[in-house]
Amino acid sequence: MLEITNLHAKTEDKEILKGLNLKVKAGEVHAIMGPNGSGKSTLSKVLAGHPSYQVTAGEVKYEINFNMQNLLELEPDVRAKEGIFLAFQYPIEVPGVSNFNFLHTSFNSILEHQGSVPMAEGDFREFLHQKMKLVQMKPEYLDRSVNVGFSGGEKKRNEILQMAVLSPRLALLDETDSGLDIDALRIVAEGVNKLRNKSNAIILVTHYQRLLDYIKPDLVHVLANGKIVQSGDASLALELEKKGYDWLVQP
Amino acid sequence: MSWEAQFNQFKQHHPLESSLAAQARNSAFEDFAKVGLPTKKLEAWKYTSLTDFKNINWDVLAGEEKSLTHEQMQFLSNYLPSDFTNFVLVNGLLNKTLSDDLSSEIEISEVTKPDLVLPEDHVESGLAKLAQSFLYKKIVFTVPKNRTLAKPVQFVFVNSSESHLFSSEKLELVLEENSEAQILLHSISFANQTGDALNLSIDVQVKSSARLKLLQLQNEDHGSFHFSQNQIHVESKASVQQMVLTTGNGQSRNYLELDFKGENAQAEVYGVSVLAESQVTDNYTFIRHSKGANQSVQHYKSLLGGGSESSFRGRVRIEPNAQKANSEQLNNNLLLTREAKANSVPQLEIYADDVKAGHGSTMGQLSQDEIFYFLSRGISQAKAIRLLSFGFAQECIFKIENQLVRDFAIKILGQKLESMMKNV
Repeated sequence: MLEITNLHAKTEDKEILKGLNLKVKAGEVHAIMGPNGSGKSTLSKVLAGHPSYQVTAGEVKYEINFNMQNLLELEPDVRAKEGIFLAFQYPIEVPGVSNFNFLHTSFNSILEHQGSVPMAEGDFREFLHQKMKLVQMKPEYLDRSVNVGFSGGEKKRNEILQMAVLSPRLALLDETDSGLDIDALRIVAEGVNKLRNKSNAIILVTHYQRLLDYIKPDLVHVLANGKIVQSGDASLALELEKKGYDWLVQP
Repeated sequence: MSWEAQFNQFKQHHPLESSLAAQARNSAFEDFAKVGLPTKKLEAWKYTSLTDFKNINWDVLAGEEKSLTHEQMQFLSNYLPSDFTNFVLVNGLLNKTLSDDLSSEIEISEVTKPDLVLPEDHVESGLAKLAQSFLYKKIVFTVPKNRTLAKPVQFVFVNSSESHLFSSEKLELVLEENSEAQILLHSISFANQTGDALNLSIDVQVKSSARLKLLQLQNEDHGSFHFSQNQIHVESKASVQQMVLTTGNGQSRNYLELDFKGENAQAEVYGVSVLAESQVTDNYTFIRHSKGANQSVQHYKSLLGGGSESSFRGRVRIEPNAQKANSEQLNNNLLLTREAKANSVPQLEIYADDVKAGHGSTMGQLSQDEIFYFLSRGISQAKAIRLLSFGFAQECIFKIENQLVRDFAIKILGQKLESMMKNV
């Protein structure tokens, strides 16, 4: 469902992705690992359409209505409506906008795009309560401002809640494990696992193999200096844990 | 007609029984004639010019005793929820049809001498003297000792003149010991008016352990001017929450002076301005800790579209004997366009040493990261800006505890934002 070919991207005149290739099929979970500054977060932001990143070469095709289409020419909100979801490494705090209102607006925007009737407030609240159980979040979090006063772990759980509500076809989890203690990590990972199915794909961007103990990837890629330098199955992550990245990265 | 001719006519029309009061009113006008309206040369008026106000030919007596049209009645009834106690003043006169029954709490009486004198160094003297010159009566609203008013009380001010009407109103709110009330002062305009000016002088006394929530809604049309001078006295263990929500008016200037007369009292002062086109708002606050062990919080927010401009001057004075005072001040400005402008001046005068006093001020636009967060959830750019703007303005509104009043304020805020966002 996703085909990235020779992708080059920069931010603030600094080239970060330097010819990245990646193919993702429905039902797969890919883990992207790599040292600091290798371009892991950039990749997920470019795919979601963050305006601070510019693509300078290459192409990204994404399956929409059974056709592979040019993802890069779609506005970020349209990409989201077409099923791309980015779980932020640093979720944004939005004072004055309730979590409920944010989720409701988001959910209905996507429904509207699909030509469906928007869901009424009462029904949506009920639907949300089911989803909140998945990430063990208390209902009172709905009436708080988005991420304001949330702990690091709560913010990440809130991201997974959004993912559960929007049920994306392609989820990009940008270092969702960073800053989480073991319990929070387990809750987040269980949430993700429950959302995993044959028709969607997940790209996990992570520093550590720890997350992969909980979410088993089908493929592991090592990103270094803006390119994928090694790909393999789940055992590659274990090997990286033992040997580090040095043996793969050209000095 | 000149102000002098207006004054002579007004005096004839509304003579005062008390000769002392009549004298005081004459001197108020003489003083006004001497100093005139404030200009930008005055530090307190640095950011706001009254040139537009000066250029209009104001009429002081126009519009009295006019009956309302059916449309006007209907328009007003939209703003009179049945779960409020409502008093509607049309051209300064109580409209009996639209108002709830006069209760024992409310009294309309002639002004007396003290209503017509101002301290020497009063910042608003020019404007306040003009307002005093055209006063003949005041509304006094008293909440008796130990009484909690069950319903919010709303005063609606509206004018129905065909010329430019300048009106001056005085309101005295007295909360006796351990009483509690939620009061709204709501000024609005009928459709297709020529543009009016309203000057509200509000004297508030919050006696020991009393609790007052006061919300001012300034919702007149863009051709109108709104001036207010609030004087709030807070006694020991009392609490006050005052908020001004400015959505309307071409120009508004709000002067608020709050003085702690006892200890262990609390005051929260909020301001939310949501402005478009060439609207201008100027809030001047003066929080005076005359006694110690009191807490004051100020938070003013402006959401600025078009070529609008907001100014905030927050003066806090902690007197030498006011130890253990705690004062916070915050002013946030969100500019939606390049043309919008915000001015912010904190002014802290601290003469005691064992106090806490903080202040902060921010100015900025919506951040790209915030907007992207919304986009990444499938929310369009226009909707994202609307939600973020609403959220920005709502943060203060959420401080209103009474849900009926909060929803009422949110509705007015929502109407304004909807009309603003059409042009974004």
